[in-house]
Amino acid sequence: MNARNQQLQLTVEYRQVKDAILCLFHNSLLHRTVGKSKYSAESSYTLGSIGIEEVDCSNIDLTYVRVNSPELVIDIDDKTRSFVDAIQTIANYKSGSFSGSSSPSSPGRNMRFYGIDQWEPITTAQIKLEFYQKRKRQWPMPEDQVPWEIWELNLEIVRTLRGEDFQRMREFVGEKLADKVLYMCSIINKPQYLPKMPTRTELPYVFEDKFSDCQPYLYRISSDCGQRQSDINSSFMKKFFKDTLSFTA
Amino acid sequence: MGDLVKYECSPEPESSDWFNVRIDEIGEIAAYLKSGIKRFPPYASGLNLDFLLHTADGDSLPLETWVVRIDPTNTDENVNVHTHLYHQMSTLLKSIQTAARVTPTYRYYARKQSPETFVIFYRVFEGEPDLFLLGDDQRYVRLGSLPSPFGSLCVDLYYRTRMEIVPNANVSPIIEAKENVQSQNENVVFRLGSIPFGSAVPAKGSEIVAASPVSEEINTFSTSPLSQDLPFGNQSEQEAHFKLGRSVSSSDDSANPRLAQDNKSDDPTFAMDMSNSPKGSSSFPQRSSSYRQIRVRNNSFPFASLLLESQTAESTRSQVLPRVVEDTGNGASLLPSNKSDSALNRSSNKSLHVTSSSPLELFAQMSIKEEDEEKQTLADESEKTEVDLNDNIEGEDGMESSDDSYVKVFAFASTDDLGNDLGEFVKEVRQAPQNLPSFSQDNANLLADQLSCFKEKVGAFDSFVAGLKEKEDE
Repeated sequence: MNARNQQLQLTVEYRQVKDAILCLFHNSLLHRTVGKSKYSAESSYTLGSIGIEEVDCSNIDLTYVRVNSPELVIDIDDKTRSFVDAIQTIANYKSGSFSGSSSPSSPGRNMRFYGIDQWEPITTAQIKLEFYQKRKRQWPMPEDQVPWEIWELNLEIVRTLRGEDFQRMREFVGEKLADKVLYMCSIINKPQYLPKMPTRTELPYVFEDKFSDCQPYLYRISSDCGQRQSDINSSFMKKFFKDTLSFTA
Repeated sequence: MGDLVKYECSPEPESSDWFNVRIDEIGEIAAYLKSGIKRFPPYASGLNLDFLLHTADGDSLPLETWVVRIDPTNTDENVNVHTHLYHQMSTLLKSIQTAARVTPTYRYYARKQSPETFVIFYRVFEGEPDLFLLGDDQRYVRLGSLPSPFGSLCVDLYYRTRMEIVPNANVSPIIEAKENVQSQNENVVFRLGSIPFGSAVPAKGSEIVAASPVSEEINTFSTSPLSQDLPFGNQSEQEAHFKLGRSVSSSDDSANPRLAQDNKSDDPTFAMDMSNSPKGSSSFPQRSSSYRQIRVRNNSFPFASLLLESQTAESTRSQVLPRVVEDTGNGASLLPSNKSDSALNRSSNKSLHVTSSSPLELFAQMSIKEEDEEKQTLADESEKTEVDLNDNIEGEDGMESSDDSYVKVFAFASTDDLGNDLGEFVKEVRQAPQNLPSFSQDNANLLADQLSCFKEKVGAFDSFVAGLKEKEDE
C-alpha cells in the first residue's frame, strides 16, 4: 500500500520556522489523535476525550489549535528541536558571513504586495511528519514500519532586511499558514484509508500508547536539514533494500 | 473573552463529551439555538451560522458563513454509523475547531472586540445562505463531506477576504437605534427581520455547562467486524446511538429516519383503545401492554405515548439538551443533565400538571421524588407515583381507594415490574419541562380556594336542595 503524500510549500522568515512547523504538525496530530482507549475485552473498548488548546504563534500573526496534552507537546518539541536549531545555525552562519556570499533577492509578486521589496534567501529545507503502522514479520526480521500518511513541509527560509519587513512577514505568513491549515482540514475529512481500530493486543501496532491522556496514531518526524549528501544517499539505499525485503517477505 | 480556550484531555470516557471531544456548551448560545431552530438537516435544506461585524458607527459587515447540510442524494448504506461515521464526525468537529481559528474573522476581529470599536454578532437560521453578502473575492472551503446511510453530511465555510464596508441596501442595520447598544456585560440580542442575532461575546458570568450526555455507552465501541451493526457489550441494555443533532424536546420523528419515513405528517400518530377508557385520555398506564412505546412529545393529551402501536423501529435514545430554566437570576441558564438516562434531574422535586382534554374534565397531578444518588438503570431507583383523580374517573384497573378525593398508587420498587409502558411513562414525566405554558400552576391554589368557598356556602346549598325537595313534595 502506498502512503498518502501531501506536500506543503511555505516561505518563512528564519525566526518563524518553529511556529510554522508546530502549527502544521499539531494540526495534523489533532486530527490523528483519539482519546485514550480502555479495553473491557479484546475487541470492546471505550475512548476518552480530547481537549484542545489555543496557542498564539510567537512570530506569526496566527492562533492554532493543538491537543492539550503536555506530554505530546513536549514530544513534538523534542523531535523538531534539532531541525529548528539547524536552521538557526545556518541562518547565523550566513549572517556572519554575509558580505556578498548571498545577495538579497526580490520576493515574488505577493510579497511586494505586502510591501517587502527585498529579502535574503538562506536555505531550503524539508521536514515531514509520517503516520505509520507496525507490521510483524517472520523471525528474525524486525517489525516493519509502513507509513500510510505523510505530510511533507518544504520550507524556503529567508531573512528580512528591515524590521518593518518582518512585521509584514508576520501577517503574510499568517495568511499563508491559515490557507494551509484549511487545506489540510479539507483533505483530512475526505473518505480515505485509516488504519482499522485495533484489538487490545494490536494496539501498539497502530497507536502511540506512551502518553497518559491521549493516543495519537504512530508517528515519526524526519528531516533532511543538516544531513550530508553521502548520508542521504546511504539512507536512500537502506530504505530501498528494506522496502524490497518487505515486499518479498 | 479574549482568553485562550483550554480544555483538558480526559483519559476516562466521559458521557458528556460527544464525539470524544471536550467542549463546554455556553448556556446563552444553547438557549438561543433551542428557541430559534426548529428543524435540522435533512428536514431543513441547510443550517447556517453567520458572523457579522457591527461597528460603533452602526455599519455592518458580514464576515463568514458556516453551512451544515445533508445531501440526501449521496447515501452510503455500508457506512457503520456507530463506529466509522462517529469517528469521522469527531475528526470533522476537530477540523471545525481548527478552521474557526484561522479565518480572518478570528485573526483580525474576534479577540479585539469592544463596545467602542466593534462587536461581532452571530445568527443561526435554516435554509440557504445569502453568499452575496460576503462580497467579491470571498473564499469557500468544504471542510468535510461524510457519506452515511442518511446522506452526506457536509460542512462548508464561506468567508470574506475584502474587509470593506460598502453601503449596501441588502445588509440592513442590525441595530435600529443607537440607544439599543448594550454593554458587554449584558446579553445582546437584536433582530433583523425574523432572524434574531446573538452577540458572539457571551456576557461574563455566563454559565458554561457540559454538553448533555446520553449514556456512557456512547463511548463504547467494538473492533470486531461482526459486531459492527450490533449493540455493544450487553445487547439487551446498552447500545451506542448516533443522532444528527435533534433534541428530544422537538419532534422525535426526525431522530429516527425509519420513523420519519413512516410518519408523513407532523401530527403524532397513535392508536387509542376506545373500548374501556374514557373519551379523550386515560390516566391509567396500560400495564398489560406488551409492546414498546415510542416516545412522542405532544401537547394533545397526556399519556398518549402509552397508546402508541408498536413499531418495528429499534429503541432510540435521544440526546437531551439541557433544559432552560427561565426563572434564574442570571437569565437563561442550563441545568446539567445526569450521566445516566434514568436520572435526568438530581435530587429535585418536580411537579407536573396534566390536564386532560376529555369532556369528563379529568384532572391528574403527579409528583415524582428522586433520590440524590445517580443510578445507571431505573431498576436501582425506588419511585413513588401519586395519581390524583376526581370522582368521574372510571377505574379501569380498579384503582380507586376508599378516599373519595384522591387515589394513590404506589409504584413498585423496581420499574422493571411495571412493564415497558409505565417505564416509558415515567421517563416521559421526568423529561417533561418543569413549566408547561399550557397549564396554569395556580390550579392547586384555586382548587383549595374553591373548596373553602364551597365549604362556607354549604348551608346555602343545603337550603337550596331542601327548597327543591319541598317544591317537589308539593
